[in-house]
Amino acid sequence: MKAEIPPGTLSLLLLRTVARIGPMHGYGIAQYVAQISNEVLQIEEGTLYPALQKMLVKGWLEGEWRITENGRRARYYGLTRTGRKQLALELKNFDRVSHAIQQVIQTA
Amino acid sequence: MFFRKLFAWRRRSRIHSEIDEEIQTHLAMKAADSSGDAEARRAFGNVGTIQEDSREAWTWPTLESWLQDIRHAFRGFRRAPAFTLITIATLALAIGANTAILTLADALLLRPLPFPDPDRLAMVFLDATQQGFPRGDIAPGHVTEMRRNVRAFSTAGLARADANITGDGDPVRFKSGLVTANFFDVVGMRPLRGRFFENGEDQPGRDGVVILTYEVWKSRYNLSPSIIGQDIRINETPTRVIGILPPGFQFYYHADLWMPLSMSPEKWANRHSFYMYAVGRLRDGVSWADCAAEMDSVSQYIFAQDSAEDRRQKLIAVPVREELTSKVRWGVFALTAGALCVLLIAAANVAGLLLSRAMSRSSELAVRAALGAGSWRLARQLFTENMVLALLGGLSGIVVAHFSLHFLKPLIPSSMTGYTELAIDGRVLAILIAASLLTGILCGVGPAWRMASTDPNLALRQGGARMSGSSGQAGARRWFILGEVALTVVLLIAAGLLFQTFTRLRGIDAGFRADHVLTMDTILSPKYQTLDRRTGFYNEVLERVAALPGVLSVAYSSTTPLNWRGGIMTIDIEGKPPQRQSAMYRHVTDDYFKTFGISQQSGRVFDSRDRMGSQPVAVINKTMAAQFWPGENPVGQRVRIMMVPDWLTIIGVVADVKEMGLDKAQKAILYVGYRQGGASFAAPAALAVRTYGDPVQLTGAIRREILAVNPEQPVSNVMALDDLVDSQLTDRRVQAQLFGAFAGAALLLACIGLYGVISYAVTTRTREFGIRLALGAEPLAVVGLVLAGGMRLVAAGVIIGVAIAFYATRWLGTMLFEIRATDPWTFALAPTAVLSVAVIACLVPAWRTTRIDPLESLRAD
Repeated sequence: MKAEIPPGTLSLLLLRTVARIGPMHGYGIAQYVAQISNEVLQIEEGTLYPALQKMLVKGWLEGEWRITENGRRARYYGLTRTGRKQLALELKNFDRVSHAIQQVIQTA
Repeated sequence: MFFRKLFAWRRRSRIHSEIDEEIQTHLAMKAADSSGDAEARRAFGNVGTIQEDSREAWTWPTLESWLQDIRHAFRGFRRAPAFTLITIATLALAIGANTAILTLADALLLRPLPFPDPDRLAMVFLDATQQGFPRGDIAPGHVTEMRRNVRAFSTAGLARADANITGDGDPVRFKSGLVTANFFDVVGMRPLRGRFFENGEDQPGRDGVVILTYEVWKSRYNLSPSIIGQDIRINETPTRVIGILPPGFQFYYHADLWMPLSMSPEKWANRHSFYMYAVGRLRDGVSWADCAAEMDSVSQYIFAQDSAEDRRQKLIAVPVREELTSKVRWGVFALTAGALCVLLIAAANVAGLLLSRAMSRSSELAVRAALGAGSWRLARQLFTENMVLALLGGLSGIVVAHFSLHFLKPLIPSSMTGYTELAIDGRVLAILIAASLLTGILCGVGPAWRMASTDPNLALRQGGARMSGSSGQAGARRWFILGEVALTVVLLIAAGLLFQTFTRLRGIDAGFRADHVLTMDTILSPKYQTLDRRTGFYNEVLERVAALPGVLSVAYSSTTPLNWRGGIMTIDIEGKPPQRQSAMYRHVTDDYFKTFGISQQSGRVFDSRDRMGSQPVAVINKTMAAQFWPGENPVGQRVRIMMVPDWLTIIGVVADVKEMGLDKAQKAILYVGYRQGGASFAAPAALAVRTYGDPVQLTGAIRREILAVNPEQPVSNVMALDDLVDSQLTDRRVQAQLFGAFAGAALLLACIGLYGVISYAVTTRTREFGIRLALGAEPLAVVGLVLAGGMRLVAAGVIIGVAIAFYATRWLGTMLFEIRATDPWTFALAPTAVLSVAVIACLVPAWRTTRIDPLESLRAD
């Protein structure tokens, strides 16, 4: 079953993915997230590309054009130093929030 | 991030193509993975939207869409040039008028006075309200008493005089201020160069010093620093320049240079010649109320020995700012109110125009809404258009204001011309732009709100014209018209009252015939200190000028009428207890009354019999006769000027000359023949020449004759007497004209608005009128129906306007002369004018109903 990506977590997902698999194109990133999450998290193209562009503008990612295994030109997104810092920050935040949410759920 | 975006702007086409390519690649990869291209694209969603959204990361979306709105706005204006032009012109006129008036108000009321802490400075006047003169000059003795007894402030005395500078260039006459040595301390000035007067420099013998204004230093001495310490010739006397004033300094009246007021102790004790002013700076901790209380007690003491009548007068201390602005304040307030009315009317009209434009565009807007533009987005578009219009109007308004300032110049009184000027400065500009934007917001909110709350579905189905009949819209416009008509009536009534004031003042009998007379001033130097020498000079000039071709008669006198409100002396009447009444004191030559056309009431006027040594005689005016000898014949009676031992025998009575000003109460005047004139302060200085033809043409010839008598004699204030009288009324004329212009503009705007509303009603109700006509209504009855609808609105506006005017015009109070603020004629005429113009504005569109073809109108959808 597909699920909505919780607001605010998209950039975390993208940064984490790039951090794990290295520079990758948009399609690859979306595929990877879908596979790892057992098709639960599906990143729509309509949110994927604007988000990637914003992260380029903010300097978290850098883009590089490469040729794919199938011979297509694609932009590969890699993590920058600021991107790495941002990832750490967002991870910490997410941990805190999800921990808090779990506490609430358990006590209830 | 900011810089990344900034640089991105330059390579945006590359960024765009990269995003496009990336998305194409994505599509291709997705297609390869799944069954087919179309499937991939469907799963992908709207490619265009994704591209747009991705690009947006690199942009300032709000800024760019505003810019886009502005571009749209201009495109829209080009499609509707008539609408755009009318709107901008309306706003430009209204905002321009307001800017100009605001600049005037700023110059007159708000600009700082050219000396420190002016709100602690007091001017002292003689308050003789019961005689009609609430702000009179004071006598040296009053200044002496105040310096001795008043604790509330330190007092400085000042008087005005003329100064002829000769020897270092063309002989020129300057105005000088004569002041006690503490004057600049009291006023609180510091010299720009050199020093100010020292203690004791206002004593005879040490008084040969002068302080120049910056303006004279610049114009006559080219800012040369070496002039300080040098002697210049003032009134033929070497006088040392000791200091320069900072630029722009003026105090109460215009002076080019400042000299010590040095007088003998006897003169300082004189309480019967009124030609001085006093200024004081309140001591720390003293309030204006304390000051007024002390002035009252000092006055009681000073006037204790005077007649019952005179004991009612007193010395008053008035804040200098109040004194400088009190004469102009109401005029400025009234003009500001008038300009604001015009702005309100203009704004109402523009709002009406914008509403109808929005209505006529509703199908266009509905199409855009259906194509996906959000209603908020469209409302913003409309709002932007209106703001752009308002700003364009405001900018054109600056141009209008710039060129209309010229007409406002006469409204700045001469006491303020030295330091204040009409210029649109940053503050006024800021207010102007804020006002334009506010106008834009107020006018634009209606259409924008309407857009935001319109259901595009409904709009599309109904089509433009039909849906715009919504009653709320038409209702708003009708309210606007009501308000416009009311304000127009108020402005028309105010303009009418001011115009009548002006014509009444023009029609006043000033006591002399102003046509064909040339006047000029020749202030004599101390070379002519003795009466003999003066008389010699006058006789020679009179003889030479009288011999010029075209000259009817020529005369010298202390002053040209209307020019000098001072020179008032206390008078004793023989055989009556000391009355201490006062009269203006004037020296004149024999042909004075003939030259000015002042009619003789009884007795005779001066002639060659009245010499030094013969019986001292005087001529008085009608008012003096009535005031001093009610019911008696004054001819043969004798009067004496205080401090002068000789009794003067009255030989004749002449008509009243309005020496105090056209709109002021008439004062008693005592004329003395120049050959017998002792007091040198009233020595004749004004030459008047009555001519056959245009008097101004004789200027050169007369000046040559004067220079032939004394080559060093400056001649100043050359003016036709007509122009002099006119200049007295310039401010009244300009006020009346401005209000006339406001009222005219208001009437025009209200009519345009009315025309618009009625045309609109005719267009939207065509079908209804068609049915009426088809059912047999008379075409004229339909015209009447429309006309009545419009005129009901106008009549309501007129009634409200008259009611407002009834209360508002009393604020014109001091601006009016010999006319009641509720003058019935004006209150009848203005509404009549509005009603008749409104009938035309309604009738033109109403007549169009006669061209309605019933069949056509019923068939058309």
